[in-house]
Amino acid sequence: MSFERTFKPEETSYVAQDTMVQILPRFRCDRVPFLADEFGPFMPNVPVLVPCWLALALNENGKCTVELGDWFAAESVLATQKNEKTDTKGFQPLPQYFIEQARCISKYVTEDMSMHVHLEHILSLRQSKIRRAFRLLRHDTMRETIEEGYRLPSETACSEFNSIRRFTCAAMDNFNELLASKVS
Amino acid sequence: MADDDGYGFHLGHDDDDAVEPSAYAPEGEDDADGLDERTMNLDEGFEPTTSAVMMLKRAWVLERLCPEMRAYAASTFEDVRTRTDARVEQLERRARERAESGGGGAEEESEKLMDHLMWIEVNRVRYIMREYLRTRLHKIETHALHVLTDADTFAKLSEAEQKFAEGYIEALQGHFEDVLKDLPEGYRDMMVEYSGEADEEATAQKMIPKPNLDAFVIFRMREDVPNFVQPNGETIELERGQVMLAQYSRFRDLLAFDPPKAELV
Repeated sequence: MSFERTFKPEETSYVAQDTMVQILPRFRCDRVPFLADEFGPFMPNVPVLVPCWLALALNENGKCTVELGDWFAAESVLATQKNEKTDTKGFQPLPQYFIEQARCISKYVTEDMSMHVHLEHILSLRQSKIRRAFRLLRHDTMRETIEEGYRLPSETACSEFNSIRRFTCAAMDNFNELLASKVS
Repeated sequence: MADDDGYGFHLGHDDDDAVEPSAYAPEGEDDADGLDERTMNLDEGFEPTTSAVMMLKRAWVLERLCPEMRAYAASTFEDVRTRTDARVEQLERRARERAESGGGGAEEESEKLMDHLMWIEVNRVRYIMREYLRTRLHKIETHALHVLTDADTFAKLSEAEQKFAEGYIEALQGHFEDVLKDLPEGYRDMMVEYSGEADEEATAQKMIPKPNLDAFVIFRMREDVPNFVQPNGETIELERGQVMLAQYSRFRDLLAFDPPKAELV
């Protein structure tokens, strides 16, 4: 096993499950002290914020309905998809774990996969944008890029970092080595 | 919606009676601030950041992405461990009591559900604890000789890790001695590269794999840092939420602040 300075998709999805989501509980309970924080109080149909893992576990027991943020609503997903397509440079703002969240919601909560298709499409649009941006890097300015660092859009999602991490970091390391050996 | 740019993290539909557990619920007048953090994907906008468990999680993420050893998060780890142990004890006691008392009841049903949820959390937390330690052990193994010879790095380990590193090197040395004893004279040292004649310089230049501090990593700034002085003497303006693909050594100092001014993503 080699030691990789990156995360596997399963690990990212684990990390993503600490994100707070809103639920509508179907039970009554006072604030509960969990290890990470206190959550609650839970009242029937009063929205409350809990971490994603808790929401999924409650949902599994039929104790709540999960509501992701507005970004997950059908119309905003479609709007994001459209903007992502027309805006060829910038990224549309989405939560950093949007794809992980969407995946676990469609896996455990709803049977409705229609939004999922659009989100995957958004993901691939964004992927190609990142790659295109890296293709614009020029060898004659490589030294400056290495010295100054390369700025990525701050909307880049966690899974996108992981998907580009290996090749970008390795490529930059290699360029750096090559440039260093050229001088000496 | 046409005027919606596809972006909306407003969590509550009804602003007035939504229950607000704490700061990570951007709503009403806090909207600007909370939304800001979410736009920049800073995790204050998404999850509790101050609890020991979350701090340990962040330490694990940092450890995983960072080329060199980070200092052992002793107090955070111990805090999480005592809490988790206490919770496990509590849950086991409650389960025993329930088994003894027998009968059901609505009260007990909800207690059972909560216990079930708490067990889930205990398992999640245990996973972070394990992963944190294993990531560190793996790093120690990768650069064992460096860890032992470099006093600064050695000081970053916990006691148990120091013992592990020593034991690991001992085993490695034993293994190399077994293999290398059949090689010609001059090739037998674990750390010295053969250079033909025995000169002092070669002995001084040992083959010790070191972490590459110039490796590229992805930084995200957690705060505005105007006029950050880089190792090469140049200053740079850094904004909150800015993401940089850069050499680890370049912004490494920003990670050392408490709270850190940058994180690895």
